[in-house]
Amino acid sequence: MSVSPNADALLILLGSTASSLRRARLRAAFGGLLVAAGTCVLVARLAALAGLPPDALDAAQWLAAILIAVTAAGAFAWAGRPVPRDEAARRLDRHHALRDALSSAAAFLDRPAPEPLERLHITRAAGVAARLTVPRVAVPDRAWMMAAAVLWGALGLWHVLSSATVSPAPDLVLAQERQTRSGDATRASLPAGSGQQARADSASTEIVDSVHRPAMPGPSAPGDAPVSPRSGDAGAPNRDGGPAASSLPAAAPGADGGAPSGPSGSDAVAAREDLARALSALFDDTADRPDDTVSQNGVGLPPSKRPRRVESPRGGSEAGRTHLAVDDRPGALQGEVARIRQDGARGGSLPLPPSHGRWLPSGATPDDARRAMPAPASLGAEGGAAAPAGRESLGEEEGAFDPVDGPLPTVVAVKPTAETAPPGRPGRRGERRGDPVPTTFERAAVPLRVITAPGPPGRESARDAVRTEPALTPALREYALYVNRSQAR
Amino acid sequence: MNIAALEAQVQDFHDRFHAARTALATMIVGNAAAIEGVLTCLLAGGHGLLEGVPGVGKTKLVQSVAEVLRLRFSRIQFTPDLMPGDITGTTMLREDAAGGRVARFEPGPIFAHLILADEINRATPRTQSALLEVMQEASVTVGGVTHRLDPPLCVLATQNPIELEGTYPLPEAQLDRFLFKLGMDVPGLDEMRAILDRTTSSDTVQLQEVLDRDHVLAMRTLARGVPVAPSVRDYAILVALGTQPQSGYAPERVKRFVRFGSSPRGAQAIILGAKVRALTHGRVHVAAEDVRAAALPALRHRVLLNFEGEAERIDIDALIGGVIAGVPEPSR
Repeated sequence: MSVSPNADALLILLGSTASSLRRARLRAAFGGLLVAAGTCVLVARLAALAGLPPDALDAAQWLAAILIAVTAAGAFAWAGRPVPRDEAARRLDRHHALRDALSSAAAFLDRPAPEPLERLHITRAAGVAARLTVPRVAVPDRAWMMAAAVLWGALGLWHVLSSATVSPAPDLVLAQERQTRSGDATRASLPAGSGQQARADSASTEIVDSVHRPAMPGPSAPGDAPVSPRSGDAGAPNRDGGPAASSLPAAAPGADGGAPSGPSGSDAVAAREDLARALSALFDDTADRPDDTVSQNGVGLPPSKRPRRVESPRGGSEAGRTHLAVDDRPGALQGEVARIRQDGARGGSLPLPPSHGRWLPSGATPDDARRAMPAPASLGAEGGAAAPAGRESLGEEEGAFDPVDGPLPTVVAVKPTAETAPPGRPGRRGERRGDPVPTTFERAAVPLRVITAPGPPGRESARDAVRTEPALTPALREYALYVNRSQAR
Repeated sequence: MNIAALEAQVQDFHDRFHAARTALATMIVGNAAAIEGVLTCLLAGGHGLLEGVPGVGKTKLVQSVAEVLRLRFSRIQFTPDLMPGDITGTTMLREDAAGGRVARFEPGPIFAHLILADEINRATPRTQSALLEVMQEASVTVGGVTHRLDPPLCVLATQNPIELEGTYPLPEAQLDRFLFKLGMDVPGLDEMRAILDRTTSSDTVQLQEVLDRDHVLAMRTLARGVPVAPSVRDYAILVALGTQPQSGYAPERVKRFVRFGSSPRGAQAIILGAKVRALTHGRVHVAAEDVRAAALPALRHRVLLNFEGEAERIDIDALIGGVIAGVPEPSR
């Protein structure tokens, strides 16, 4: 209908604006979809950082997928709707500050018989429309697209910055090489003929043996030799009064064909491998660290991405924190793991009180840690812990220290984050001041690298990481959880 | 009617309105909104209630309007002893030519074009109610006979918000019949200077007559014909409904402090005032800004606060402003 000679100009303008609005809607829909997808990615990453359990993460991913699908469907359905003429006119009014002139004219155009003043207004609006150009009515979609660009840019930056913390899981060959190199280096660094070198030899043999040997049914496997030569000390009770710790994994393939309460053969193999890794690393103070371990512990990362700085009592003090100092002698560690497993087999509750550890106050020095360690006699008596492998060859009594080597260093056990080299500490090879230094346990067992939890720093995330890490053997997982809980007390 | 003639009418409306406003401004210093509101009431076919403290020029404004528009003017000073018959007129016995006696209606002062109801709240409700029929139907019924009043009819009432002793607040039904309630502000420093210069010297201000009755009637007809788009009409409706606490469109503040909101007359007043305003701005369609400008004077006397609102001394203008701000504009 043409109510005035110039009304066609108004109709053409409104039609063009409607087309422009549809295109703008399409862009807005695409932008909204990008924003929805980016938000889902952001939420998923935040959920992963928060340490949600895997099933919750799966549910969140499904929810995000559904949200994106619904958003896409709704957005494109909205974009595909025809744009009413009055809506286009209102947009033009707002764009040109025409004070509802074009929208009113569009409304009057739809009337079957416009009144005289309505026709006058249509004529006026058509005259205005003839002078107008179709603007790019795209403020909303610009906002959406800008929001999407900012969101995705931030996500990309985050991804680039955080990708350095992700490294592939170690494979068996890498683990073997690392452990063998670690053992060799340790052996070379020890005094020739000392008890420590003998222990290192024994540990290295066990490591290589455990890596090359497939998991066989434990009790009948000929290679299932006891980890510790003192594993036959079945009479040494542990602190809880239970059976001797050495009767668990080591005594199983013994003369009696396996204790009824002991672990299965595969468990024994796993326990032996765990202990072998731990043993090798306990002598590994001077060993070179693999690159991937370094990256796991934050070396090479920007300072904001590095793990929280925690100093070891060995290297100095840590302000405001107290750590559990754990006797890292092989026998003690073996006894600890065995005792935990034994207690678990009896239905006992974890964690057990630390039998080989002491709390050290903040500011503790290595000497404080040494003094805080249990006496050698009590160590053997209360824990039932087997003496280190080399000690029997020296003919020492159970739990006695090597008079030549002196007390072994006391170390901080498993911690959720890597240590960092304290200021003033003599740098190790490849380390700089302030660089993260892996804990003994991280060096001890390669799979323990995953203790660098993906979530925010804290014991909960570390515990979750320990629980869910498939590379951890049950024994190491138990021990890690135990130490973690003990430190939390 | 062709488009060119309509254009001329619209332009004439615009020019005459501004001429009247300019003429009134030579007599009334300041209070431009009140001047424009009075003219809007007159051209929209409604009545106005002027409120202000004594001495701000309420009566002078109405007298000036009558003079500028060359309308038949009548002033009624409302007092407590004023009777309805004193306003509407009464039937009196008269002697005819034959010497007989006949009952004849003597029109009261209400029979005029522009009526100044001065201090309307000083009369009793019975007398105030005499204006109800006049303001709504433009007629007077006396002795069973209805007398039509000659258009244009505009009642401009004044009241003093301070002196409450011996006054009778206008009932809601009476208030609802006023199109606008306009406030007269106390003049400021510059305005006081101008007032003193004009009123204390030997020079007298001569008002210019710019309109007459026919002009006013034509302008009323034109204003009534201004079209309103449905979206703008709905915007005005939502604003009016927003003052009703029982409606779903009222904001929380209205629900808490308001006892009664605007009646449908409020929405009518908004649209009528917006139409006149659109023409005064040279437009032949009502825009949202016209609705916003007309909403406050059209609604402020139609909103009654509840006890809590009175106790909290809620400012009704601010309350209505919140309602207007809360209603989405039709262009959004």
